[in-house]
Amino acid sequence: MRILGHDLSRAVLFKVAIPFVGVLLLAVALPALTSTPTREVTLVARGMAFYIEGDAGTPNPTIEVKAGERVRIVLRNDDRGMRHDFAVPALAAAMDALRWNESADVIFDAPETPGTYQYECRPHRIMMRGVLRVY
Amino acid sequence: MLVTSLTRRAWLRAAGFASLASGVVGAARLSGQGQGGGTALHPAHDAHIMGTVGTPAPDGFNPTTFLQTWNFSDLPPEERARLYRETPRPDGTMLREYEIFSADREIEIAPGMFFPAWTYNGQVPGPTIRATEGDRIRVTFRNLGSHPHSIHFHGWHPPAMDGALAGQEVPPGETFVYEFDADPFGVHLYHCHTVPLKRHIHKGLYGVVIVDPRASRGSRPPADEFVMVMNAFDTTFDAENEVYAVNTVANAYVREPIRVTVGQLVRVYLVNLTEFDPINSFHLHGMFFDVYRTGTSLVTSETTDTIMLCQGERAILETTFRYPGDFMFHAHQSEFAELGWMGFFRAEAPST
Repeated sequence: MRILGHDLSRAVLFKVAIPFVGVLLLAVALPALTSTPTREVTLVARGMAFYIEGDAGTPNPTIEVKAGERVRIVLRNDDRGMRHDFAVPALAAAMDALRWNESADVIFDAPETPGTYQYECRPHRIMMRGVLRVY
Repeated sequence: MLVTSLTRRAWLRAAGFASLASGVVGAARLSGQGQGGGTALHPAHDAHIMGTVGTPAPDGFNPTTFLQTWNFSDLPPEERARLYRETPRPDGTMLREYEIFSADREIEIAPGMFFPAWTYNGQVPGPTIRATEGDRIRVTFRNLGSHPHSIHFHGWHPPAMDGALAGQEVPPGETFVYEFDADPFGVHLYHCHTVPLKRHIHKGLYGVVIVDPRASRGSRPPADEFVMVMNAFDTTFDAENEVYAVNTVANAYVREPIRVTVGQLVRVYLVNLTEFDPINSFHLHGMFFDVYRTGTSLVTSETTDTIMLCQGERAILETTFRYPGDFMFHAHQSEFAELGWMGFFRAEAPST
């Protein structure tokens, strides 16, 4: 490796700047990563509806969560050729749209006060929507 | 249709259609072109085998299931109940309620070849609607697509139910309920009527409506029934089709011939929904069939082995297989046949 001006600046970039930014990001993300969700729900998007994995009989089920608890929703897209996502707009919780066979999660805190909120697939919200009930 | 054959050929090769380099083709060449005495054949003669290579994903649209599915009959009861309900009415007719939605979806039109479709209920063609003459049809249409869409049903209906007039397009996220009586009996179609029309139709927004004659007219005799939609896809968006098919997937019924029984009446509900090409046709090898144009009569008007249909035109075909074996059917526009619109019936002796 030659120590020339332009190589040196690349070396600085790789050895110092990127690790520094990485550590910074980790520090920011750490609280979310360490605070374990107390409620995990795995959903499947299929045939223009959400289902809780293992219960194919209840389309767009009501999802019940406790006030203030940390919630993790995992979504798998089982619709080949179609894109789906999961969002609770009132709680500013959303994931990017998934392609077929992709999974992703979204983590959010349930509000401290009981109530109901709509969850939805944003591109298909007039069919793919249900109630998130905070009790 | 105006694309030069050179371009077409190069494109097809890139797309993976069967053409060259197979031992089977080599054998066909030897048997069929024997008198050349070792003379090199020009490339056009290499394409002796028609069809595609490979298999589409097994969990995608199933052209074989589509042939005999109407009113969502392929779905398990709970899932079907979400999309279709029937309620007897005092006069003996039926209220039939359908949930139809439009949605963008990538569909596989040949093995490994995907097309960014606009669909009804995620499939092309859309779900087949089947009612008896005089039934009331109520379709709740939800537009989950990215563009305005509508449903225009062929059949008797007032202008408010037309789906084609100014202001009748349904914006994304909106719902409209179409309601009309099933009339007249026959084989009809529905399609999006939002402009630009040919684009909205060719992207996949179409389906079949079968209206059976009311009992007092006498019914059609029992038969093995098949819904066939002649369609095509412009994959390069140049207003020319590159892939032709019956029921969307090129050569699906070459890979999986349609099973029929010798001596048993076969009825085909044939609808032409090809865009960009003014006509399409259906030709059956080794046999003849009776034609009921638009299906609006119980008396055949014609017995033939080739029927030509304009865009939106349709017919019921009836025939009975005399011999066991494979019977080819295809568009008699040879170009369409070679680009995917070809399949087989496989007739078997009845089990005793």
